[in-house]
Order: sequence, then structure tokens, then C-alpha cells
Amino acid sequence: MAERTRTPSLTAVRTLGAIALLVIGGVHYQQYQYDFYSAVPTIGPLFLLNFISAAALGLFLIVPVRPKQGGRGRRLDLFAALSGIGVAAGGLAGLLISEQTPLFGFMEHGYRFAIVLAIAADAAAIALLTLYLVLARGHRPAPVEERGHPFNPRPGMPAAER
Amino acid sequence: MRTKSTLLAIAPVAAAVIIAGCGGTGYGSAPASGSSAAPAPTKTASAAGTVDLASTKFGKILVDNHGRTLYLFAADKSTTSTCSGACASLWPPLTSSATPKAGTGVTSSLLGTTKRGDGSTEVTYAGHPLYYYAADTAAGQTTGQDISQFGAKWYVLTAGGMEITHG
Repeated sequence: MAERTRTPSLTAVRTLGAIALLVIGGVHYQQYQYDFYSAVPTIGPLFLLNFISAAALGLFLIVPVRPKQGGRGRRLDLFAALSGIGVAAGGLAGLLISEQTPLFGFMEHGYRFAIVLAIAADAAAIALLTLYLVLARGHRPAPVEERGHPFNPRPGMPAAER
Repeated sequence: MRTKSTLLAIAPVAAAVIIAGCGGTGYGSAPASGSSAAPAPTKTASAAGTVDLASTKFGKILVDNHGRTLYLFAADKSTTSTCSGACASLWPPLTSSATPKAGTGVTSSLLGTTKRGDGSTEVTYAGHPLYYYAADTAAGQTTGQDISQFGAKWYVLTAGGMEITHG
């Protein structure tokens, strides 16, 4: 029963973390494409890289294309969540540093809406994906024998006896 | 087991902070050959915003005391700056906490100041608020000349305070 209540919350936390990553990617793309950050050396390519990685990880975590069952899918989820935390933390650290001192020769000027949104999304992604890792740590998928094999839905009883 | 998992969760965060920190200290390293490094403009106003002249492919244009090119924004129709937010991040204003100084060849009577929305004081020349361009990473670079961003063109200025409009 506990398994049933925990799985939806795990999915919800992962989905919310993925949405935060998509917001991060969206903000960086908007700044790169429409606020001319593409012209800034180093920072411009980093914004593009942030958009690509955040969007890819966000989509991976939100779309159920990987194996639903088994250890491989779970490990991919955990790796994507860890990578998402890295992307969000890297972006947040870079942004906060560039507000105080030049980073790669570039310094931000004030806390406009896009910056506040990026900080909020970075913080949310870090918190949610960390929570997902913590929850997922204690939520291992049951072995096939315990779950019931498709050809033997009653564990412990040989198929021939049913 | 719990400690190991916690470390796994913290590791990418710590790595990202360290990488970002290295990037921060990397600024100001040796310049590329053929150009001289100039400090990036910061929010801290210089004691006196010095305006100088430097020879470039556009002729003699206004620069700061480190040789960084200064621009005017065509959207500024008065001494009041219309560049803030993302614009001010890419086009940082030349600010000064004291009366700006004129270098050799620069007319001191054309120098002035204007108050920005954030309370800082921006240097003006012939009534034009002056800006850097974030993509200029070394003295003598003029990558912002004659480009259109944030709704208007950006130009370098002559000693007379006139914009040079050819790219």
C-alpha cells in the first residue's frame, strides 16, 4: 500500500523538477535569441549550452519513453536528475557571481524579471530534483518474482499449479 | 549507504560551484595576442569616469581610461538613458562617482552626467549617455559599432560628440 502512495509523489516531484528545468532552458533561450546574449563571447555559447542541456534533461524526465520497469530505467532517471541539479546549480552560481563581479568578462546589471525567474527556476529544480533523489533512494522497484511475472501473476506458486 | 547517496546528490552542485568559481577567477587572465585586455565594466562606479581618445579604423573615437570603446544609443533622445534591464547588462553604462575627467583631445565642456533609474550616475558626452558593449573584451575592439539592439542603433563617437554611422 505504501508503494502505491509513494509512486505518485515520486512521479509528481520528478515532473515538477523537469518543468523547472524546462523553464530554466526557456529563459536562457529567450535571453540568447531575443535579448542578444548570442553576441557575448563565452556567455552566449554557455546560455545556448544551458538551454540544450536543460531542455533535453527536462524532456527526458517528463516524457515516459524510457523503460518503466527495472533498474536500467531507474538509473537513467537518477542520472538525469543528478545532471539536472548540476545544470541548475551551475547556472545559478554563474548568475549570482556575474551579479557581483565579471564572469568571463561579463557582468549582469540588476535583477530584472528574466533573472528573478531564472533564480527561482534554478532553486526549484535543485530542491525538487534533490527531493526526488532522496525519495527514489528508498523506492527500489520490486524484483520480478515479488511483482509477479506476466506469465505467473501469483508469486510463489508455480504456473503449472494454477 | 545514506551518506553515500547524499554525497552523490551534493557532488554535482559542488562541482558546478567550483567550475563557476574558476570561471570567475579566470577573468583578467593574459589577453589574446594582438590585443590588450581591458577590465570589464563593473557596477562599482569608477572614482572619475575618464574619457579619452583612441585611434581605430573609424578614426579617433571616445574610449575610457583603459582604452575600452564607448558608444551612444540612438534611442536616447536626451541626456536621460533609455537603456536598462537586459540592455544595461549588454551595454553597461559608463558610471562615475565623481566629476568625469577629459583626456587629451577630449573637450571637457562636452562632458556631463545624468542620473540613471537605479540611482547611479552615468557619464554623458555632448548630451549622449555613454555605454560600453559587453562583447568588446579588449581595448580597441569596436564590435558594437553600427549594430541594432534593443530597438535602435549603437555608434561610436568622435571627439566632437558626433556619432560615426558607417560600420
